[in-house]
Amino acid sequence: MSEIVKEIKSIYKNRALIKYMISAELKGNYKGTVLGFLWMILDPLFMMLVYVILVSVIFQRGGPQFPILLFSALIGWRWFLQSSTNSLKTYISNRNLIQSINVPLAIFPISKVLLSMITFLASFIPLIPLLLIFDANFSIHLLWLPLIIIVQLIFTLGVSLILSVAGIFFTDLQNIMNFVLKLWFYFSPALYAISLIPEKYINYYMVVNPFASLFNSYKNVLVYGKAPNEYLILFAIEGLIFVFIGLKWVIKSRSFIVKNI
Amino acid sequence: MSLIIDAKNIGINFSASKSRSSFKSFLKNFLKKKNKKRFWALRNVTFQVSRGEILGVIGANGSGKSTLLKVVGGIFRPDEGEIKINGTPSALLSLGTGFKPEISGYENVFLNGVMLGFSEKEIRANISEIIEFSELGDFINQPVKNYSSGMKARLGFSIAAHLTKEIMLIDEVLGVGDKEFKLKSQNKMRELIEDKTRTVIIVSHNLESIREYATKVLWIHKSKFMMLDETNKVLDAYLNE
Repeated sequence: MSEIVKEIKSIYKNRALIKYMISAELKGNYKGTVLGFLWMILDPLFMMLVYVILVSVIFQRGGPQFPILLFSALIGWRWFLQSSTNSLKTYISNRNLIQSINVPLAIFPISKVLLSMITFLASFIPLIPLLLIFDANFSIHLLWLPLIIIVQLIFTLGVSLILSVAGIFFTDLQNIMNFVLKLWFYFSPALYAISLIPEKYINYYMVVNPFASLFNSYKNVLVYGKAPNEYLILFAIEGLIFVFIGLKWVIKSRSFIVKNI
Repeated sequence: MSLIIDAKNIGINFSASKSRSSFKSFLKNFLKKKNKKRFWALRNVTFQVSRGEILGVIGANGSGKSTLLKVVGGIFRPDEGEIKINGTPSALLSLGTGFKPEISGYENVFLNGVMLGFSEKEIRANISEIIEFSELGDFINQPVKNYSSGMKARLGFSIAAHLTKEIMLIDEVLGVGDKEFKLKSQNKMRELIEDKTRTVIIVSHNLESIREYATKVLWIHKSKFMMLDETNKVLDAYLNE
Protein backbone atom coordinates (compact mmCIF):
# COMPACT_ATOMS: atom_id res chain seq x y z
CA MET A 1 0.00 0.00 0.00
CA SER A 2 2.78 2.42 0.89
CA GLU A 3 4.34 2.02 -2.54
CA ILE A 4 1.03 3.05 -4.10
CA VAL A 5 0.88 6.15 -1.93
CA LYS A 6 4.46 6.92 -2.92
CA GLU A 7 3.62 6.47 -6.60
CA ILE A 8 0.58 8.73 -6.36
CA LYS A 9 2.68 11.40 -4.65
CA SER A 10 5.28 11.09 -7.36
CA ILE A 11 2.60 11.36 -10.07
CA TYR A 12 1.28 14.48 -8.37
CA LYS A 13 4.79 15.93 -8.32
CA ASN A 14 4.92 15.45 -12.07
CA ARG A 15 1.61 17.18 -12.75
CA ALA A 16 3.28 19.98 -14.71
CA LEU A 17 4.76 17.37 -17.04
CA ILE A 18 1.35 15.75 -17.50
CA LYS A 19 -0.13 19.14 -18.30
CA TYR A 20 2.53 19.97 -20.88
CA MET A 21 2.38 16.53 -22.50
CA ILE A 22 -1.38 16.89 -22.92
CA SER A 23 -1.26 20.41 -24.29
CA ALA A 24 1.57 19.50 -26.68
CA GLU A 25 -0.41 16.54 -27.97
CA LEU A 26 -3.63 18.53 -28.28
CA LYS A 27 -1.89 21.22 -30.29
CA GLY A 28 -0.03 18.64 -32.34
CA ASN A 29 -3.15 16.63 -33.15
CA TYR A 30 -5.08 19.45 -34.68
CA LYS A 31 -2.41 21.75 -36.04
CA GLY A 32 -2.25 21.64 -39.80
CA THR A 33 -5.91 20.76 -40.25
CA VAL A 34 -8.03 23.58 -41.65
CA LEU A 35 -10.74 23.31 -39.02
CA GLY A 36 -8.31 22.71 -36.14
CA PHE A 37 -9.93 22.23 -32.77
CA LEU A 38 -13.36 22.17 -34.42
CA TRP A 39 -12.63 18.51 -35.25
CA MET A 40 -12.86 17.70 -31.58
CA ILE A 41 -16.57 18.51 -31.88
CA LEU A 42 -17.13 17.31 -35.42
CA ASP A 43 -15.63 13.82 -34.97
CA PRO A 44 -18.26 12.51 -32.53
CA LEU A 45 -21.03 14.31 -34.44
CA PHE A 46 -20.10 12.53 -37.65
CA MET A 47 -19.92 9.22 -35.84
CA MET A 48 -23.39 9.82 -34.43
CA LEU A 49 -24.66 10.76 -37.87
CA VAL A 50 -23.51 7.42 -39.28
CA TYR A 51 -25.49 5.53 -36.61
CA VAL A 52 -28.51 7.81 -36.98
CA ILE A 53 -28.59 7.10 -40.72
CA LEU A 54 -28.26 3.40 -40.00
CA VAL A 55 -30.79 3.10 -37.19
CA SER A 56 -33.30 5.93 -37.69
CA VAL A 57 -33.28 6.22 -41.46
CA ILE A 58 -32.57 2.72 -42.74
CA PHE A 59 -34.08 0.57 -39.98
CA GLN A 60 -36.70 3.13 -38.90
CA ARG A 61 -35.97 2.42 -35.23
CA GLY A 62 -34.86 4.26 -32.16
CA GLY A 63 -37.66 6.77 -31.68
CA PRO A 64 -37.62 10.56 -31.97
CA GLN A 65 -34.97 11.11 -29.29
CA PHE A 66 -32.55 8.54 -30.70
CA PRO A 67 -29.85 11.06 -31.73
CA ILE A 68 -29.44 12.50 -28.22
CA LEU A 69 -29.83 9.14 -26.49
CA LEU A 70 -27.09 7.77 -28.67
CA PHE A 71 -24.88 10.83 -28.41
CA SER A 72 -25.00 10.90 -24.58
CA ALA A 73 -23.66 7.35 -24.50
CA LEU A 74 -21.38 7.60 -27.53
CA ILE A 75 -19.21 10.42 -26.21
CA GLY A 76 -18.51 8.49 -23.02
CA TRP A 77 -17.67 5.41 -25.07
CA ARG A 78 -15.26 7.35 -27.28
CA TRP A 79 -13.46 8.60 -24.18
CA PHE A 80 -13.00 5.03 -22.98
CA LEU A 81 -12.13 3.70 -26.44
CA GLN A 82 -9.45 6.30 -27.13
CA SER A 83 -7.92 6.01 -23.67
CA SER A 84 -7.68 2.24 -23.66
CA THR A 85 -6.35 1.84 -27.22
CA ASN A 86 -3.82 4.66 -26.81
CA SER A 87 -2.61 3.24 -23.50
CA LEU A 88 -1.69 -0.06 -25.14
CA LYS A 89 1.31 1.46 -26.90
CA THR A 90 2.01 4.47 -24.73
CA TYR A 91 5.30 3.17 -23.27
CA ILE A 92 6.62 2.10 -26.62
CA SER A 93 5.87 5.42 -28.25
CA ASN A 94 7.61 7.21 -25.37
CA ARG A 95 10.60 4.86 -25.34
CA ASN A 96 13.30 7.55 -25.63
CA LEU A 97 11.77 9.60 -22.90
CA ILE A 98 11.29 6.69 -20.52
CA GLN A 99 14.91 5.65 -20.96
CA SER A 100 16.10 9.19 -20.29
CA ILE A 101 14.08 10.58 -17.44
CA ASN A 102 13.15 9.19 -14.05
CA VAL A 103 9.39 9.62 -13.82
CA PRO A 104 6.58 7.36 -12.63
CA LEU A 105 5.49 5.42 -15.70
CA ALA A 106 1.82 5.83 -14.82
CA ILE A 107 1.92 9.42 -16.03
CA PHE A 108 1.87 8.17 -19.63
CA PRO A 109 -1.46 6.29 -19.52
CA ILE A 110 -2.82 8.98 -17.21
CA SER A 111 -2.12 11.71 -19.75
CA LYS A 112 -3.80 9.59 -22.46
CA VAL A 113 -6.93 9.30 -20.31
CA LEU A 114 -6.98 13.02 -19.51
CA LEU A 115 -6.36 13.94 -23.15
CA SER A 116 -9.40 11.94 -24.26
CA MET A 117 -11.35 13.38 -21.35
CA ILE A 118 -10.82 16.85 -22.77
CA THR A 119 -12.26 15.67 -26.10
CA PHE A 120 -15.15 14.15 -24.17
CA LEU A 121 -15.85 17.40 -22.33
CA ALA A 122 -15.66 19.32 -25.60
CA SER A 123 -18.47 17.12 -26.93
CA PHE A 124 -20.83 18.87 -24.52
CA ILE A 125 -20.62 21.94 -26.75
CA PRO A 126 -22.72 20.26 -29.48
CA LEU A 127 -24.59 18.08 -26.97
CA ILE A 128 -26.30 20.96 -25.17
CA PRO A 129 -28.01 22.48 -28.26
CA LEU A 130 -28.89 18.95 -29.41
CA LEU A 131 -30.59 18.25 -26.08
CA LEU A 132 -32.66 21.40 -26.53
CA ILE A 133 -33.58 20.60 -30.11
CA PHE A 134 -34.65 17.05 -29.34
CA ASP A 135 -36.61 18.10 -26.32
CA ALA A 136 -34.66 16.49 -23.49
CA ASN A 137 -36.27 16.49 -20.07
CA PHE A 138 -34.00 18.60 -17.86
CA SER A 139 -34.38 18.14 -14.13
CA ILE A 140 -32.53 18.45 -10.85
CA HIS A 141 -30.98 15.04 -11.59
CA LEU A 142 -28.63 16.80 -13.99
CA LEU A 143 -26.57 17.54 -10.89
CA TRP A 144 -25.52 13.88 -10.88
CA LEU A 145 -23.54 14.43 -14.07
CA PRO A 146 -20.18 15.40 -12.50
CA LEU A 147 -20.34 12.31 -10.29
CA ILE A 148 -21.02 10.02 -13.26
CA ILE A 149 -18.08 11.59 -15.08
CA ILE A 150 -15.80 11.00 -12.09
CA VAL A 151 -16.90 7.37 -11.91
CA GLN A 152 -16.09 6.93 -15.58
CA LEU A 153 -12.75 8.67 -15.09
CA ILE A 154 -11.79 6.19 -12.36
CA PHE A 155 -12.85 3.16 -14.38
CA THR A 156 -11.17 4.40 -17.57
CA LEU A 157 -8.00 5.14 -15.63
CA GLY A 158 -7.97 1.66 -14.10
CA VAL A 159 -8.44 -0.16 -17.39
CA SER A 160 -5.90 2.06 -19.16
CA LEU A 161 -3.26 1.48 -16.49
CA ILE A 162 -3.74 -2.27 -16.74
CA LEU A 163 -3.68 -2.26 -20.54
CA SER A 164 -0.55 -0.10 -20.66
CA VAL A 165 1.41 -2.86 -18.92
CA ALA A 166 -0.39 -5.74 -20.62
CA GLY A 167 0.46 -4.19 -24.00
CA ILE A 168 4.15 -4.52 -23.16
CA PHE A 169 3.92 -8.17 -22.23
CA PHE A 170 1.75 -9.22 -25.17
CA THR A 171 2.41 -7.52 -28.46
CA ASP A 172 -0.68 -8.88 -30.14
CA LEU A 173 -3.02 -7.55 -27.49
CA GLN A 174 -3.71 -4.61 -29.79
CA ASN A 175 -5.36 -6.82 -32.42
CA ILE A 176 -7.39 -8.64 -29.82
CA MET A 177 -8.49 -5.41 -28.14
CA ASN A 178 -9.70 -3.91 -31.44
CA PHE A 179 -12.09 -6.81 -31.70
CA VAL A 180 -13.05 -6.96 -28.02
CA LEU A 181 -13.81 -3.26 -27.84
CA LYS A 182 -16.08 -3.39 -30.89
CA LEU A 183 -17.97 -6.29 -29.43
CA TRP A 184 -18.18 -4.59 -26.04
CA PHE A 185 -19.75 -1.52 -27.62
CA TYR A 186 -22.52 -3.51 -29.30
CA PHE A 187 -23.02 -5.48 -26.09
CA SER A 188 -23.64 -2.19 -24.24
CA PRO A 189 -26.87 -0.19 -24.38
CA ALA A 190 -25.75 2.73 -26.54
CA LEU A 191 -27.58 1.96 -29.79
CA TYR A 192 -30.52 0.47 -27.91
CA ALA A 193 -32.32 0.94 -24.63
CA ILE A 194 -31.73 -1.18 -21.58
CA SER A 195 -35.39 -2.27 -21.72
CA LEU A 196 -34.47 -4.43 -24.71
CA ILE A 197 -32.77 -6.90 -22.38
CA PRO A 198 -35.18 -9.64 -21.17
CA GLU A 199 -36.29 -9.08 -17.61
CA LYS A 200 -34.84 -12.30 -16.22
CA TYR A 201 -31.33 -11.54 -17.48
CA ILE A 202 -31.21 -7.88 -16.59
CA ASN A 203 -29.41 -8.33 -13.27
CA TYR A 204 -26.69 -10.50 -14.76
CA TYR A 205 -26.36 -8.08 -17.63
CA MET A 206 -25.92 -5.06 -15.36
CA VAL A 207 -23.34 -6.85 -13.24
CA VAL A 208 -21.34 -8.31 -16.11
CA ASN A 209 -21.20 -5.18 -18.22
CA PRO A 210 -20.19 -2.04 -16.34
CA PHE A 211 -21.01 0.08 -19.39
CA ALA A 212 -24.66 -0.86 -19.09
CA SER A 213 -25.02 1.19 -15.93
CA LEU A 214 -22.80 3.97 -17.25
CA PHE A 215 -24.65 4.46 -20.55
CA ASN A 216 -28.00 4.14 -18.82
CA SER A 217 -26.94 6.76 -16.26
CA TYR A 218 -25.86 9.23 -18.94
CA LYS A 219 -29.15 8.76 -20.78
CA ASN A 220 -31.20 9.03 -17.58
CA VAL A 221 -29.56 12.19 -16.39
CA LEU A 222 -29.15 14.01 -19.71
CA VAL A 223 -32.24 12.99 -21.67
CA TYR A 224 -34.91 11.59 -19.32
CA GLY A 225 -34.31 13.80 -16.30
CA LYS A 226 -34.07 10.71 -14.07
CA ALA A 227 -31.58 9.57 -11.44
CA PRO A 228 -28.54 7.53 -12.51
CA ASN A 229 -28.69 3.76 -12.63
CA GLU A 230 -28.10 2.25 -9.17
CA TYR A 231 -25.58 -0.26 -10.55
CA LEU A 232 -23.25 2.67 -11.09
CA ILE A 233 -21.98 2.09 -7.55
CA LEU A 234 -20.75 -1.34 -8.60
CA PHE A 235 -19.06 0.28 -11.58
CA ALA A 236 -17.30 2.77 -9.32
CA ILE A 237 -16.06 0.00 -7.02
CA GLU A 238 -14.78 -2.00 -9.98
CA GLY A 239 -13.02 1.12 -11.23
CA LEU A 240 -11.27 1.65 -7.91
CA ILE A 241 -10.14 -1.97 -7.84
CA PHE A 242 -8.78 -1.65 -11.38
CA VAL A 243 -6.90 1.54 -10.50
CA PHE A 244 -5.37 -0.27 -7.53
CA ILE A 245 -4.38 -3.32 -9.59
CA GLY A 246 -3.16 -1.13 -12.44
CA LEU A 247 -0.94 1.04 -10.28
CA LYS A 248 0.45 -1.98 -8.50
CA TRP A 249 1.25 -3.67 -11.80
CA VAL A 250 2.87 -0.55 -13.26
CA ILE A 251 5.09 -0.20 -10.19
CA LYS A 252 6.00 -3.88 -10.18
CA SER A 253 6.79 -3.98 -13.89
CA ARG A 254 8.74 -0.76 -14.03
CA SER A 255 12.11 -2.41 -14.35
CA PHE A 256 10.86 -4.83 -17.00
CA ILE A 257 9.23 -2.05 -19.01
CA VAL A 258 12.23 0.28 -18.93
CA LYS A 259 14.56 -2.52 -20.03
CA ASN A 260 12.36 -4.10 -22.66
CA ILE A 261 10.64 -1.34 -24.59
CA MET B 1 33.70 16.50 1.72
CA SER B 2 30.16 15.28 1.69
CA LEU B 3 29.34 12.08 -0.07
CA ILE B 4 26.90 12.58 -2.94
CA ILE B 5 26.87 9.23 -4.69
CA ASP B 6 27.56 5.96 -2.91
CA ALA B 7 27.28 2.87 -5.10
CA LYS B 8 27.98 -0.54 -3.60
CA ASN B 9 28.33 -3.65 -5.75
CA ILE B 10 25.67 -2.55 -8.16
CA GLY B 11 24.51 -4.95 -10.81
CA ILE B 12 22.01 -4.62 -13.65
CA ASN B 13 20.84 -7.59 -15.65
CA PHE B 14 18.82 -7.98 -18.80
CA SER B 15 16.93 -10.95 -20.06
CA ALA B 16 18.77 -12.56 -22.94
CA SER B 17 15.71 -13.76 -24.80
CA LYS B 18 13.24 -11.49 -26.51
CA SER B 19 11.02 -10.63 -23.59
CA ARG B 20 8.09 -8.85 -25.14
CA SER B 21 6.13 -11.64 -26.62
CA SER B 22 3.05 -12.62 -28.51
CA PHE B 23 0.51 -14.88 -26.87
CA LYS B 24 1.88 -17.77 -28.90
CA SER B 25 5.43 -17.52 -27.61
CA PHE B 26 4.16 -16.73 -24.14
CA LEU B 27 2.22 -19.97 -24.08
CA LYS B 28 5.16 -21.88 -25.49
CA ASN B 29 7.53 -20.54 -22.85
CA PHE B 30 4.98 -21.06 -20.14
CA LEU B 31 4.43 -24.69 -21.04
CA LYS B 32 8.10 -25.45 -21.41
CA LYS B 33 8.95 -23.60 -18.20
CA LYS B 34 12.03 -22.40 -20.01
CA ASN B 35 14.57 -21.05 -17.56
CA LYS B 36 15.22 -17.49 -18.48
CA LYS B 37 18.81 -16.68 -19.28
CA ARG B 38 19.98 -13.32 -18.09
CA PHE B 39 23.13 -11.41 -18.80
CA TRP B 40 24.73 -8.77 -16.67
CA ALA B 41 25.22 -5.35 -18.21
CA LEU B 42 26.94 -4.28 -15.03
CA ARG B 43 28.10 -6.22 -12.02
CA ASN B 44 29.96 -5.63 -8.78
CA VAL B 45 30.70 -2.01 -9.51
CA THR B 46 31.50 0.11 -6.48
CA PHE B 47 32.33 3.78 -6.42
CA GLN B 48 31.75 6.96 -4.49
CA VAL B 49 31.60 10.56 -5.58
CA SER B 50 31.77 13.54 -3.26
CA ARG B 51 30.53 17.07 -3.81
CA GLY B 52 32.56 18.98 -6.36
CA GLU B 53 34.26 15.88 -7.72
CA ILE B 54 34.23 15.03 -11.39
CA LEU B 55 34.15 11.32 -12.04
CA GLY B 56 35.19 10.14 -15.49
CA VAL B 57 33.95 6.75 -16.62
CA ILE B 58 35.88 4.92 -19.31
CA GLY B 59 35.75 1.52 -20.94
CA ALA B 60 35.36 -0.09 -24.34
CA ASN B 61 32.09 -0.07 -26.25
CA GLY B 62 29.42 -2.10 -24.51
CA SER B 63 31.26 -2.20 -21.21
CA GLY B 64 28.28 -0.78 -19.34
CA LYS B 65 29.16 2.90 -19.12
CA SER B 66 25.81 4.22 -20.25
CA THR B 67 24.01 1.66 -18.10
CA LEU B 68 25.95 3.03 -15.14
CA LEU B 69 24.78 6.56 -15.91
CA LYS B 70 21.21 5.32 -16.09
CA VAL B 71 21.53 3.74 -12.67
CA VAL B 72 22.74 7.01 -11.18
CA GLY B 73 19.97 8.85 -13.03
CA GLY B 74 17.37 6.60 -11.42
CA ILE B 75 16.19 5.12 -14.70
CA PHE B 76 17.41 1.63 -13.86
CA ARG B 77 17.07 0.39 -10.31
CA PRO B 78 19.96 -1.92 -9.36
CA ASP B 79 19.10 -5.63 -9.49
CA GLU B 80 21.98 -6.23 -7.10
CA GLY B 81 23.75 -4.03 -4.59
CA GLU B 82 22.58 -0.58 -3.72
CA ILE B 83 23.07 3.03 -4.64
CA LYS B 84 22.51 6.03 -2.43
CA ILE B 85 22.21 9.44 -3.98
CA ASN B 86 22.20 12.59 -1.97
CA GLY B 87 20.62 15.14 -4.27
CA THR B 88 18.84 15.24 -7.59
CA PRO B 89 20.62 14.12 -10.72
CA SER B 90 19.72 15.93 -13.92
CA ALA B 91 18.12 13.78 -16.56
CA LEU B 92 19.95 12.30 -19.49
CA LEU B 93 18.02 13.90 -22.29
CA SER B 94 20.14 13.59 -25.35
CA LEU B 95 19.76 16.85 -27.23
CA GLY B 96 16.32 17.24 -28.66
CA THR B 97 14.76 14.18 -27.00
CA GLY B 98 11.20 14.95 -26.12
CA PHE B 99 10.80 17.79 -28.60
CA LYS B 100 7.36 17.85 -30.17
CA PRO B 101 7.71 18.92 -33.80
CA GLU B 102 4.31 20.60 -34.13
CA ILE B 103 4.66 23.10 -31.30
CA SER B 104 6.97 26.10 -31.19
CA GLY B 105 10.50 26.18 -29.86
CA TYR B 106 9.28 28.38 -27.02
CA GLU B 107 6.64 25.84 -25.99
CA ASN B 108 9.19 23.06 -26.33
CA VAL B 109 11.48 24.82 -23.84
CA PHE B 110 8.73 24.48 -21.25
CA LEU B 111 7.91 20.91 -22.24
CA ASN B 112 11.58 19.92 -22.07
CA GLY B 113 12.07 21.85 -18.85
CA VAL B 114 9.31 20.03 -16.99
CA MET B 115 10.65 16.75 -18.37
CA LEU B 116 13.98 17.62 -16.78
CA GLY B 117 12.16 18.10 -13.50
CA PHE B 118 11.97 21.88 -13.30
CA SER B 119 8.96 23.92 -12.30
CA GLU B 120 7.33 26.37 -14.67
CA LYS B 121 8.59 29.16 -12.45
CA GLU B 122 12.19 28.01 -12.72
CA ILE B 123 11.88 27.69 -16.48
CA ARG B 124 10.35 31.14 -16.78
CA ALA B 125 13.28 32.55 -14.81
CA ASN B 126 15.71 31.09 -17.35
CA ILE B 127 13.75 31.36 -20.58
CA SER B 128 15.31 34.56 -21.91
CA GLU B 129 18.83 33.27 -21.31
CA ILE B 130 17.96 29.97 -22.97
CA ILE B 131 16.59 31.70 -26.05
CA GLU B 132 19.48 34.12 -26.23
CA PHE B 133 22.12 31.41 -25.91
CA SER B 134 20.46 29.32 -28.62
CA GLU B 135 20.74 32.26 -31.08
CA LEU B 136 17.40 31.27 -32.57
CA GLY B 137 15.98 34.80 -32.55
CA ASP B 138 12.45 34.96 -33.93
CA PHE B 139 12.63 31.33 -34.95
CA ILE B 140 11.82 30.47 -31.33
CA ASN B 141 8.15 31.03 -32.14
CA GLN B 142 8.20 28.69 -35.15
CA PRO B 143 7.20 25.03 -34.86
CA VAL B 144 10.26 22.89 -34.23
CA LYS B 145 9.55 20.84 -37.37
CA ASN B 146 10.75 23.87 -39.37
CA TYR B 147 14.12 23.82 -37.61
CA SER B 148 17.31 22.55 -39.15
CA SER B 149 19.06 19.82 -37.18
CA GLY B 150 21.64 22.40 -36.12
CA MET B 151 18.94 24.69 -34.74
CA LYS B 152 17.35 21.81 -32.86
CA ALA B 153 20.70 20.84 -31.36
CA ARG B 154 21.37 24.44 -30.34
CA LEU B 155 18.04 24.74 -28.57
CA GLY B 156 18.45 21.33 -26.94
CA PHE B 157 21.91 22.21 -25.70
CA SER B 158 20.80 25.59 -24.45
CA ILE B 159 17.98 24.05 -22.42
CA ALA B 160 20.26 21.37 -20.96
CA ALA B 161 22.96 23.90 -20.12
CA HIS B 162 20.67 26.36 -18.37
CA LEU B 163 18.49 23.93 -16.49
CA THR B 164 20.87 21.84 -14.44
CA LYS B 165 20.65 20.16 -11.08
CA GLU B 166 23.35 19.66 -8.48
CA ILE B 167 24.38 16.32 -9.95
CA MET B 168 25.22 16.40 -13.64
CA LEU B 169 25.37 13.27 -15.75
CA ILE B 170 27.10 13.72 -19.08
CA ASP B 171 27.24 11.16 -21.87
CA GLU B 172 30.11 12.46 -24.04
CA VAL B 173 31.19 16.07 -23.77
CA LEU B 174 30.30 17.39 -27.16
CA GLY B 175 30.04 20.78 -28.71
CA VAL B 176 27.11 21.20 -31.05
CA GLY B 177 26.29 23.27 -34.10
CA ASP B 178 28.62 25.14 -36.40
CA LYS B 179 32.23 26.02 -35.60
CA GLU B 180 31.39 29.15 -33.67
CA PHE B 181 28.56 27.66 -31.64
CA LYS B 182 30.63 24.56 -30.97
CA LEU B 183 33.25 26.67 -29.26
CA LYS B 184 30.65 28.59 -27.31
CA SER B 185 28.90 25.41 -26.18
CA GLN B 186 32.18 23.78 -25.20
CA ASN B 187 33.03 26.78 -23.07
CA LYS B 188 29.61 26.69 -21.44
CA MET B 189 30.08 23.02 -20.74
CA ARG B 190 33.47 23.65 -19.14
CA GLU B 191 31.96 26.35 -16.97
CA LEU B 192 29.24 23.97 -15.78
CA ILE B 193 31.55 21.05 -15.15
CA GLU B 194 34.14 23.05 -13.27
CA ASP B 195 31.60 24.70 -10.99
CA LYS B 196 32.61 23.40 -7.57
CA THR B 197 29.09 23.20 -6.20
CA ARG B 198 28.27 20.52 -8.76
CA THR B 199 28.99 16.84 -8.75
CA VAL B 200 29.63 15.50 -12.21
CA ILE B 201 29.89 12.12 -13.89
CA ILE B 202 31.25 12.12 -17.43
CA VAL B 203 31.10 9.06 -19.64
CA SER B 204 33.33 9.37 -22.64
CA HIS B 205 35.37 7.63 -25.28
CA ASN B 206 37.43 10.73 -25.63
CA LEU B 207 40.32 10.28 -23.20
CA GLU B 208 41.45 13.85 -23.83
CA SER B 209 38.29 15.31 -22.35
CA ILE B 210 38.44 12.84 -19.47
CA ARG B 211 42.04 13.89 -18.76
CA GLU B 212 41.02 17.52 -18.96
CA TYR B 213 38.06 17.42 -16.61
CA ALA B 214 37.98 14.36 -14.40
CA THR B 215 39.32 14.48 -10.86
CA LYS B 216 39.13 10.69 -10.71
CA VAL B 217 38.32 7.93 -13.13
CA LEU B 218 36.36 4.70 -12.99
CA TRP B 219 37.33 2.06 -15.53
CA ILE B 220 34.87 -0.68 -16.32
CA HIS B 221 35.49 -3.50 -18.72
CA LYS B 222 32.93 -6.02 -19.97
CA SER B 223 30.45 -4.96 -17.26
CA LYS B 224 33.00 -5.40 -14.49
CA PHE B 225 34.86 -3.07 -12.24
CA MET B 226 38.52 -2.67 -13.22
CA MET B 227 39.94 0.31 -11.41
CA LEU B 228 39.02 3.49 -9.58
CA ASP B 229 41.75 5.99 -8.84
CA GLU B 230 43.05 9.42 -9.72
CA THR B 231 42.79 10.33 -13.37
CA ASN B 232 46.33 9.88 -14.62
CA LYS B 233 46.88 6.54 -12.90
CA VAL B 234 43.76 5.00 -14.39
CA LEU B 235 44.35 6.43 -17.85
CA ASP B 236 47.92 5.14 -17.88
CA ALA B 237 46.80 1.68 -16.85
CA TYR B 238 44.00 1.79 -19.42
CA LEU B 239 46.37 2.81 -22.21
CA ASN B 240 48.90 0.10 -21.29
CA GLU B 241 46.23 -2.55 -21.42
